[in-house]
Amino acid sequence: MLACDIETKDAFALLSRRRFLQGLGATGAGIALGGLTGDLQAFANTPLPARDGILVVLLLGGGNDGINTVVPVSNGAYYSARRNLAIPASAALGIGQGFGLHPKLTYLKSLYDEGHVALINGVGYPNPSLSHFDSMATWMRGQANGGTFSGWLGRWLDGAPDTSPLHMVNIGVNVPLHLSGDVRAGSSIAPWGMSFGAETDDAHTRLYGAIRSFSAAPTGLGPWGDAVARVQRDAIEIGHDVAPSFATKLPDNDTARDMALAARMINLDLGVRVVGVNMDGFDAHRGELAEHAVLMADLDAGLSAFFATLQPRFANRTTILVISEFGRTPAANDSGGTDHGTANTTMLIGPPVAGGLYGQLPSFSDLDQNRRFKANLDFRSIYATVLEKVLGADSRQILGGTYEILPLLSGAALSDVPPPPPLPIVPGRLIAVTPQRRLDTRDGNGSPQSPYHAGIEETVRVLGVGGVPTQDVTAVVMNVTVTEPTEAGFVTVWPTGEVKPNASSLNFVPGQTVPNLVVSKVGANGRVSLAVSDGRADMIADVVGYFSKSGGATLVPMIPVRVRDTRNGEGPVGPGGIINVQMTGTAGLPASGVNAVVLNVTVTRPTEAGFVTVWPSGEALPNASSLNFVPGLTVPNLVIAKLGSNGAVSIFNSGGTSDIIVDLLGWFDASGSGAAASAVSPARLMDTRDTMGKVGPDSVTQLRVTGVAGVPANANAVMLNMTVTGPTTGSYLTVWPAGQPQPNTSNLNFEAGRTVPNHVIATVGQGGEISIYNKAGSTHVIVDLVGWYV
Amino acid sequence: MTTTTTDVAHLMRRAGFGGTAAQIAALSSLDLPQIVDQLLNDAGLAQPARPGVVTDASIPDWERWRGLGNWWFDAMADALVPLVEKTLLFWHGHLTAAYGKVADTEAMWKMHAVQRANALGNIRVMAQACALEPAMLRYLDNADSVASSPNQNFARELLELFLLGVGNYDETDVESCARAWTGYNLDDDTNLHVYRAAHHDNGQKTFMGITKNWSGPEIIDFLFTDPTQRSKVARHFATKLWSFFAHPNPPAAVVSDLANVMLAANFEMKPVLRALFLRPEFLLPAAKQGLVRSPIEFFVGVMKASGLRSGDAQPMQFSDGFGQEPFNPPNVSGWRQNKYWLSSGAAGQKSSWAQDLHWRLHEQGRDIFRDLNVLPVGQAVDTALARVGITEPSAVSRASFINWLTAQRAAPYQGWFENFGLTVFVMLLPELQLA
Repeated sequence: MLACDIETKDAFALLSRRRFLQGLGATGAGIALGGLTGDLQAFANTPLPARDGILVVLLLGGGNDGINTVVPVSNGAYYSARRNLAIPASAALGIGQGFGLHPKLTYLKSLYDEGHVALINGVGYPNPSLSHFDSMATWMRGQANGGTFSGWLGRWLDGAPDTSPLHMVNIGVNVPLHLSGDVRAGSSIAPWGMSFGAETDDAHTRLYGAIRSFSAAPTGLGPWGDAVARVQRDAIEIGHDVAPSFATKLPDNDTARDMALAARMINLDLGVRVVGVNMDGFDAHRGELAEHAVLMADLDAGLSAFFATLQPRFANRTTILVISEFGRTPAANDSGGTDHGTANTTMLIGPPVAGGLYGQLPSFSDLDQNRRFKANLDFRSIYATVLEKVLGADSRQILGGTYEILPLLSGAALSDVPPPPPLPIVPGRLIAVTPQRRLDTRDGNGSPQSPYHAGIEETVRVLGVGGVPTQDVTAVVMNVTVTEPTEAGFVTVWPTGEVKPNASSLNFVPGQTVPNLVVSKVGANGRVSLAVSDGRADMIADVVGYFSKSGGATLVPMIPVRVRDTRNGEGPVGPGGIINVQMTGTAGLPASGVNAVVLNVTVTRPTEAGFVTVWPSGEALPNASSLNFVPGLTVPNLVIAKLGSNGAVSIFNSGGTSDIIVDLLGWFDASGSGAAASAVSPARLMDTRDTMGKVGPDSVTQLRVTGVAGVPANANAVMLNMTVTGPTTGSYLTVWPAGQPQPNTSNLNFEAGRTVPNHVIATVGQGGEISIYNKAGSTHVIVDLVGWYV
Repeated sequence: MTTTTTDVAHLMRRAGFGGTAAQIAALSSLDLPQIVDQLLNDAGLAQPARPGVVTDASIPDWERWRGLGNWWFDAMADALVPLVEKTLLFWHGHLTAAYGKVADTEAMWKMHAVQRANALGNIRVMAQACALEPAMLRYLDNADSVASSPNQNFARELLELFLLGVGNYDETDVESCARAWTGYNLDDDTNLHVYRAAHHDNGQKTFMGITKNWSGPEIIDFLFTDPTQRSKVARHFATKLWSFFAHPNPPAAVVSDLANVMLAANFEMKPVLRALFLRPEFLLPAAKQGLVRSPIEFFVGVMKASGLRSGDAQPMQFSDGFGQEPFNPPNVSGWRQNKYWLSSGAAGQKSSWAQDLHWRLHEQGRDIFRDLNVLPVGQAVDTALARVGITEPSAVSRASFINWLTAQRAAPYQGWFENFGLTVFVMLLPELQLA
């Protein structure tokens, strides 16, 4: 009898992230007919912080014979009770203090000698059940009393901030109860391979995208149908991420295979923090001596395979907990075996462990009413210790009671180390890239194929993908577009891991398609976070460059100059049309050394909905957009564009005929003569809705931008996201350095009633201030700071 | 009087392994009690003979076990009236034995035959018969349980899992039950049950407060006849049956009512199943959407609808990876339900199986959907859905299917991928994973 598959509660484990809300909130959501090509690079599995402890739970199903595993070799009562089942003292691997390990545990003995093994005797719980299922459920639930039917590590997962499917995994095709919480559950890894999701060609990617799309909206088949769809999507994501673990052969022996695979999972460095491994066959009612020896040899081989496989950088923070649902009867039965017992020996193994013997071997004479051992240490004390010292969690909350923390782990607990402070603000220089799409919720690129929902924080990986390095990057420059929002609201983009700021990166009204250039500091795990404030909206993000501590170009602001206007003679650009705009050697730009340009691109009088893409001349047209528009409306957007090798940019018009106007606002100098950029989590500098009321017609507002929100006094320019909302009439805003003459240009153009955002690079003027002019009518103005140039 | 096709399809999936659109349409002209009576009346068909593979001396025993498993998959897929096979699947997971321990295919077949003969018969007869089956004696160690050292394994599970449930007995009852079953052993020479009177504990034993010289079979008879105990047994089975056929965690009223039907019928199965299928709750969303298919149900459902049999579908080859091998439950409590079948590991294995299935059939020019690529997308989609028994697909699934196939066909140089992708896509449709 094997007992590691205790039934999890029959409620729906709604596994993670926004899928839960998605299932409840989205009704009748259409399935976008798109490329169905999912970008598998952008899944949610990311490395663990370097100080996080890692836990492996090895479950010995069936009830391991603890006193034949850690043998009381100088206890006469043991030899009387066990008769021919006893391990002779001469055969046991002596560890002193009257104990010896089973003869097959030679590797464990070597670990014990190195001080890496804690052996804890007499572990159990009050009023023990002799049923496999009851007792296993008690161990798996790990609750003081009552409570929900969920597992102790599952409840830890419920509260874990990392929502990636690989945060907790079980080696096997099912997920046992101890890894199943009230709302989330670990994933399972089939030890014979996870090829589903591992292929990367277009056809497979399309197929995976289609299967993943089952979970994009309620299936209409009830909660279990939705759960099926979610699990299949997880399987694809996991299959993609764990493929390297199956690249080379695993050991043949089941336990060695599973333990080696557990180590490979950790070696992936994709955030695996808890791994479940399961052995079976310990229910030794008969023929125990021979069978148990095989199991002990397997256990030893498994431990050996694990530490031989585990990379050293993880070994010093990895702990193995070995548990079983109960021990065996003190006395042998007449079938050459033992029956279900109670108190047992538990082990903790690994470099963080303070090795030695703990607890108290129960008396062979003072037995309970069923002639079983009396436990003297509650197993939940060990759980509490592991939760606090390995996982850095609040054990009282998870276990529903207070248990003694045992000195089983050496030194300061790994998770006691405070989290690192927010990344310092470091100036960076721009490295512009050919625009590349990192996120498109319409077709499942970089995200599930479903709109973002209000209240759910999403993340997108921006470092280490598509040529953006993982090192030295201080901020990322993206063109973010919202399309088909269901309600009025805004998007906030901020560094992952920092507190979500009260700021907007982009505002929208229902049905509108709105683009905006967004500069965001990069947060934890190479990610930026995005959230919509209201309703649901599809989201597209194209990376156009990044700021780096090493190399890169610096900003040289210019007096704005118009470099192209198709209304002047050449006529609008047709569907699929491309225009090339020479930059170097014209309009005041030098002939060389120009890495990228800052443009304000405006589309006017478009005949159909579409988009324009600005990219380096001479390169292939990327799958990205710089500006989206709908018929008849005028839409401007700030664009940072890398130049082609010929010093020009190309501009593509996707549909209909559109007039295109290009204003040059500045350039990025490869020689470093200009200003370096520092990006921060967005900070709101002004919101007329809160304070002064709308700005009036023909009015100038002064705004202090240095010495606030961390902007240094010597900043040359600030990066702002400016938004107008509720304008009473069509108008425009102009932003310029205070104390300077007002230029004849505009930064935001808008019509009555619309909400329009734009990224603004504003040169700082007298008194550290900028001036903001509104031409006509009155409107609210919101100014968020995202960085500065020095 | 008629029944909706949705209700008929639900009943056919739960009382069997699903029906074709034509079968469903034919039955929907009847009212529900008529359909249920037809299922129950047809359920007395002749029992199949022992398959030859069970005693094939030319192959090792584990191959006989695989052969027996494949034979049963085919029997389930072939069944004209599959209620016997479906109910047999219930018993298979309730009065369990695992080949991994028994290691004797013929013994596994014999207990299977006993359960087959009694699947829709009397529960008490079933329990008494299975208790003495060689597979059971070996699996739960009563094979050599003797008075001098009673083995508690069978005795404990008889009370805990098979008949009563935790909380309805104490350790004294377990010890007495174990003593009562001493001497009910296995003869190693004949491989048959033997009663060794000399090894039976003839002492006084206290079971459920009654002290006497209990025998093993008397324990079972007592549980089915004592007014207090038989109510507990009836509730135990009412809960288990509703969980298996409708959904786990049955409403209290359903358990009480089904238990009362069971008591009135003296533990005959057919009246209980009739009452179960005719409960209004059986047609509620909680029931219709309340079960995930076990891997065995998945294989049989696909095989039945597609016409594939074990030689092509190879269910025994893959059932371990799916997490459910017939004749080899992971432990004495059989298999769990629902969430137990939802895991990333098992989903990945299902995909591997679908890919393997496609290529195996493709090499013979027989891949399941080979004739669909000449059809327009919508027609191809509907044909494919019908071919695996999805008669009423959800709007989301159908739209996803159409979108994928449209995009697939628009992609350049990917013609070969269509039939391969179709097999994988269809086998992972959420509809196919639900019972």
